[in-house]
Amino acid sequence: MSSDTKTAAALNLTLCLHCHKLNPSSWSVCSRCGGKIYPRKPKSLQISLAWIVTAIVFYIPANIFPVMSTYAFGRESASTIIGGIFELWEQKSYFIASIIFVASIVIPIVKILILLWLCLSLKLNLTETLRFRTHLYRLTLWVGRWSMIDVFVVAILVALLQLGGMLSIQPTVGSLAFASVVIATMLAAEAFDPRLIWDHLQD
Amino acid sequence: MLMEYPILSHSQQAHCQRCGNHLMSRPKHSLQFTLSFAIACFILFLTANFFPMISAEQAGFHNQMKLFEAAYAFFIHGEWMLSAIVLFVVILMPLVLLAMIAYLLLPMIFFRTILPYTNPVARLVFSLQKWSMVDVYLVAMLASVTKLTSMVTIELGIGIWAYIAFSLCLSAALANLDKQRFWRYMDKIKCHQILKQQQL
Repeated sequence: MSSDTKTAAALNLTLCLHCHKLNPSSWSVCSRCGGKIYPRKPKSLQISLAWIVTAIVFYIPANIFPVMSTYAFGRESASTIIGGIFELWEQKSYFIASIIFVASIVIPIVKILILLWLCLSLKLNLTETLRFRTHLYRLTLWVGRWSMIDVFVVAILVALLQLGGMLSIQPTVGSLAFASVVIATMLAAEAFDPRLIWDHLQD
Repeated sequence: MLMEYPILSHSQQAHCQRCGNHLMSRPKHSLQFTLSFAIACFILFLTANFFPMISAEQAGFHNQMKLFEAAYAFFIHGEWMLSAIVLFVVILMPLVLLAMIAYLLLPMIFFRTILPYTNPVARLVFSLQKWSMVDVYLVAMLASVTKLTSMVTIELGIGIWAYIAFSLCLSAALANLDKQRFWRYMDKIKCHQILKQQQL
C-alpha cells in the first residue's frame, strides 16, 4: 500500500452512498441526489448484529418444523427442509437436490458465520485479511437472495398441487421461519458498512 | 479511499486499488439498453400473467397455475405473511422497479427533461434492486418441476416461457443500469437545460 493514498475522510469529504458524489463532511444531505449522507452507516455494527441474532433465533424453528405437509390419498406426511432434499436425492435429481442443499442449508449458515466474524473482527481490531474480508462481505451481499428458493418451491407446490382429495399440499410454520431467516440475514448484510474494515489502516 | 475519476475507453474496466472491487466499466449506451429491456419486460410480464405457467394432472384431476397464484395459495391457507412476502418480491417489486425505471429514463433519453421527484425515485430504484427476486423464483420453479415429474404429469404453458424471457430481460435491464453513469447523465441533462435557458 503506497503511503500517498488519501481517503475522503482525511480530506473532510463524505461519499454519498446513493449517487457516489463527494460532499463536504459538514453536510447532512447530498447536494446532487438529496439523500442523507454520513461518514459511516449509523449504528452499523449494532443493527447488523441485531439482525444476525434474529436470523439465528429463527433458524432453529426453520429447521425443526416442517415447511409443508402433503396429503396424498388420505395420508398426511410433513417434510422439513432437509427431508425435502433427501427426497429429491432419492429421486435421483442430484442437480436440483444440490442446488437446494447449497441455497437453503449451506448459504444461511455460512452467511451468518461470515457476518458474525466480520462484526467480531472489527471489535478485535484485526488488521490482517482486510481484502479477504471485503471479498467475503461482497459475497454475502450478493448470495443472500438465493436462499429464498426453498420458500418459493413451497409456494409453487402449494399453488399447483391442489388435486381434489387425491393430492394436496399445505404450507406450515417452518416456511415462514425460513423466510424470516433469509430476510434477516439480508438486512444484516445491508446494515454492515464494509468501510469499517479498512478504518483500522488509518489509525 | 479516493481515486481520480478514470477515463476509460470501450470495454475497459476500473478496479479499486485497495480492495479490488469493480468500480466502473464503459459499455456503450447502457442506459438506453436498460430502457429498452424494461419496456420488453412489461410486455412479457403481461403475457406471463395471463397465460397458465404450469399445469399438473393426475387421474382425471387437473390444476393449472398462473404467476400470481403462488402468492394467492399461501393466502388461502392462512399464511398471509408469507403470501405478502412472495407477492412483494416476485410480482410487486419487479413491476414497481420497471415503472420507476421507465419514469426516470423515458423523459431523460427521449425528451432531455427531468420529471419532478426524480431524485427520490432514483434513490429508491438503486436501493430496492436486490429485493426483486425474479431470477431466484425461476430457479425455484425449475426445482419444483423436477420434484413433481415423478408424482404427477406436468405440462409447461406459454406463461413459463414468457416468465423465463421476462427474467432474462429484467436481469439485463438491471445489469445495464449503472449508478454512476445514471447520475452523471442526469447532471449532463441539467447542464443542457441551464445552457438553453441562458440562450433564451
